[in-house]
Amino acid sequence: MKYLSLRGPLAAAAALAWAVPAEAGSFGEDGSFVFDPASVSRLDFEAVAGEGGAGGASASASSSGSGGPADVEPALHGAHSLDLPPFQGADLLVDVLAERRTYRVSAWVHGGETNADLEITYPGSPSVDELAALYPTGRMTSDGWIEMANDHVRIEGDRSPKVTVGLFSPGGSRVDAIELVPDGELLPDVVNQPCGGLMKPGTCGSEQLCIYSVCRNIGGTVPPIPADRDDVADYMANRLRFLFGPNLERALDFPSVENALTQMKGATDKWTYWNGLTLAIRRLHDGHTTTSSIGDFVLQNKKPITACFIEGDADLSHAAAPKDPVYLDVLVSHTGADHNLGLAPGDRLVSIDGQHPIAWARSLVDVIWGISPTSNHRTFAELAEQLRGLIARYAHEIVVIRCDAGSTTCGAPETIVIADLPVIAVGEAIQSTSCDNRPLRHLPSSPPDHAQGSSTVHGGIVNESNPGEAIYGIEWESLYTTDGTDGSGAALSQNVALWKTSAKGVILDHRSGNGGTILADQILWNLNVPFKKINVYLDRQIAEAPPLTQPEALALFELGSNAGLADTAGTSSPTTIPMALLLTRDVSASDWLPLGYKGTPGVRIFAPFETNGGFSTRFAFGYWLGMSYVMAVGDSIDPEGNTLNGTGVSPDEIVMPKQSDLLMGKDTVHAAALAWVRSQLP
Amino acid sequence: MRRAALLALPLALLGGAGSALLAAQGCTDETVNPLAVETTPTTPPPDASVPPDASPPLRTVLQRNPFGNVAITDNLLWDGDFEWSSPFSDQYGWYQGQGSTATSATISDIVVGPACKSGVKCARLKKGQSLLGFAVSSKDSDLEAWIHVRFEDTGEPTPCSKAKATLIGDGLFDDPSVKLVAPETPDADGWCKLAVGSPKRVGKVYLQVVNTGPTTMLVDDAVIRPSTLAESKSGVTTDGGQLFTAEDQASVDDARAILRAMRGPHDPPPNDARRSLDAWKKRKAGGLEP
Repeated sequence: MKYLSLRGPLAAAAALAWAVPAEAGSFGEDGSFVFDPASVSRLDFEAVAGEGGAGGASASASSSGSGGPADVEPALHGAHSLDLPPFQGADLLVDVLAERRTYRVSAWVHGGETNADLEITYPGSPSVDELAALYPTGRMTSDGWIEMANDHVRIEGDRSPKVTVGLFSPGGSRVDAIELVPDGELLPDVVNQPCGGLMKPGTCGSEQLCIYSVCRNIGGTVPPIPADRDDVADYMANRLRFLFGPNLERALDFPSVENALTQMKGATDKWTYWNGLTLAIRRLHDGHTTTSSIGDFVLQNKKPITACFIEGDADLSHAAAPKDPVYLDVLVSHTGADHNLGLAPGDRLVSIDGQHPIAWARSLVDVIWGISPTSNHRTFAELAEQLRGLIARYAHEIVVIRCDAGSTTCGAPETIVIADLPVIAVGEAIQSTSCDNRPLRHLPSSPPDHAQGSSTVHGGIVNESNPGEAIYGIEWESLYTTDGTDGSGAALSQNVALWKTSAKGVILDHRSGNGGTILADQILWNLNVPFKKINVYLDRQIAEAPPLTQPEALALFELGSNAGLADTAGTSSPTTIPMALLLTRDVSASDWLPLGYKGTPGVRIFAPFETNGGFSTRFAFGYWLGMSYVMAVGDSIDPEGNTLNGTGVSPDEIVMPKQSDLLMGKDTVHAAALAWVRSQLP
Repeated sequence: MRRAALLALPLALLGGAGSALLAAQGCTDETVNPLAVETTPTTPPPDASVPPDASPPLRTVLQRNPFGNVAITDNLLWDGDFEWSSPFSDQYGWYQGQGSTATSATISDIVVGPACKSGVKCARLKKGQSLLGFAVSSKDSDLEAWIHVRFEDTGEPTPCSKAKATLIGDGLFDDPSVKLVAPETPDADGWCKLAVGSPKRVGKVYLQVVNTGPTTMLVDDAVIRPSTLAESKSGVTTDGGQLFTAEDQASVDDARAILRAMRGPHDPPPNDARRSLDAWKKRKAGGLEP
């Protein structure tokens, strides 16, 4: 068989243009696809659906749908292909050699976007240990097939791993001609050896991170470095330079952003190259601006911890472990019934791998794509809420202080070696709880596991309301509605209507605020906020514009306001029902909510610190699910000409959760709010 | 350096593949595409030689830059080539509309494969639909803009003038709306390149694209970039004195209505694609959370 391929000058020229590393399958002169003779696993779906093709691999195509012959069934190899219906996935078992080496893995896709990866699970593990995402190589055929691949994927075949190709298609597609081809030896020093936590340097090799105390290969999560690497780097860097919206962050954070972009251009391996880009985005330090990797979707938590952490005041244990001069203390808010490390509310998390928990979590931003950001540069509620997942994956050991409710005393610091925790068993049930920054829930309908429904609004008379007090409340996370009736809109409107007729006081518990739209804020504001203009929001206008000065911003506010672009809050006929707003972690429309309330007579904001300060909106981009980023696109200007993004709304009453309260089953912030509302009752 | 090395190769040796390579450097359009799925390409792909016998092959192989047209590194649009569009996104650098109504904060129909002009992805618009691409202006420079569209005709080719593209502002500043100039007819591959040069602007700029043709229309390789007349890469430096009609103004008003309706924060719960992916991953992990 003669294969079509470039020779001589053409091949040289092609190599200059794009990196198409070590193509596997090729095409005969008649256009037929030919598997690479060196491939060790091939799937062509010619057998009955549910079985594999050549190579002895089996296909567990659980969602193969109408995979049988059809009138015009597209196929790249043979007459059949795998059908992936919309919103369906499939896992296909593939073979590897019983030795340590690297592979090029490829699949051909026809139709809509298809997300593909190679998932490697070593014996004894309950879930996938490592993965490689497949990305388009740019090779495609005139009849609509595109190649997706990744190369130099490390597999320790001598450990008898289970290796599968995972496929998911949001819009429906067909897949054919999957193959694995050895493309290199695995260097002796690149092994999955034990390690002492993510931030302990020196143990793991290139394109590895210490995850679950083992060096894991992460190079496969990103695409190969493009041959036009400088163009790609410059093009992507200019998305940040030209289009990132928030004013204050541009002034404060761009020097470190540029350093990361320089790292991208100088990278010698693909992980460093792409991490340079995503690190630059994370260093924009904005509540809307995030990065994510396919690993965030695929890699399940092997050592789930059901304790929830919250920042506060460890008033019972400062003798045993002094307060940090920079960061707040970190306390256990509430826990699930098991897998909680024996921790209980009021216990304290003193350190992680020798650092204050927040300092440790902040350090992860260099390599962990899914780290939660904050727009302001002073608070860390997002990281505290995320701690339990970060500890499970990236910590080697933690130090805690356990306290006793009976004696209201705390013990000495105690080390828990996370590396020694057993991984959960396959199928093991976990009695977990959601971390919502609420040590206790206060409504009859509140879920005992603190579950957060995407649009659910729990409402009613608060549990602590005495007969005749009629103190109502809501506990909710989402402020998303597009027309006032969808999302959380209808439920918010119903509660407001009830308060107008029945409530003497109201407690809004929004301590996990996921944002939404200003329309939902307005439903609440319209109860009791006197009408006012609060801001003008504008997308970034000019690519090279330096950060706005206050007079420039004020001029823009006036311009926007005169053009009818000012966001407004409130009503001409506000009620005077006393209202407490409880906040801890929030962003976006959940920032706007206290912004609209600030200064309103009869409304008081209770929180440990200022809000996130995410006064923008954002666009989301994804490169075949493997790499994704979200970026804030604008900023808001208040009537005094202050740009708002990056500065949160300060609480009227700063209330820290206290260790002594948590230990006794008391919710410090809610108790303070309740006491104030009671003091305001008619 | 890389460009210089490439140009040093004998052009006669490069042939069609060389054209494609030049395109990858941003020197010209990609010429190995597009190829309708059912048609036989007339230009040899860069990684395949021409079969010796005359019978048409089952297929031919093309090579695209998987990151699209990144050679225009100073593109002022968020994602002019749609390569970073994602079904898991809920708000993206292009909005989709119908008249004055925003039908989506993303693009509902992303096409994948050789039907696109450049890269791997492009957008498909139904008759009457519009796109609104978000960009920024340049502080010190004029702008040039272009976009490629192709009507998915089954009969007579739709004239390029049925694609409307306009640089617009949001009305905050007194920047003019500037129509992109359409060629009279599509090129041999069916693509129309609409282009224009525009004077320096004060405020933000958007690229509005409307399909006024009788059939679906593919949209790809959109660029807005700072440019002086001498640096123009589009070859079109003015709007050619095109009359801006009342119909054109109505279309701009539609776009501004969409912008006003969609202003401000927008943080919806996970969309259908994301929920389905999460559910599938959770199912296969035996219920474990990522």
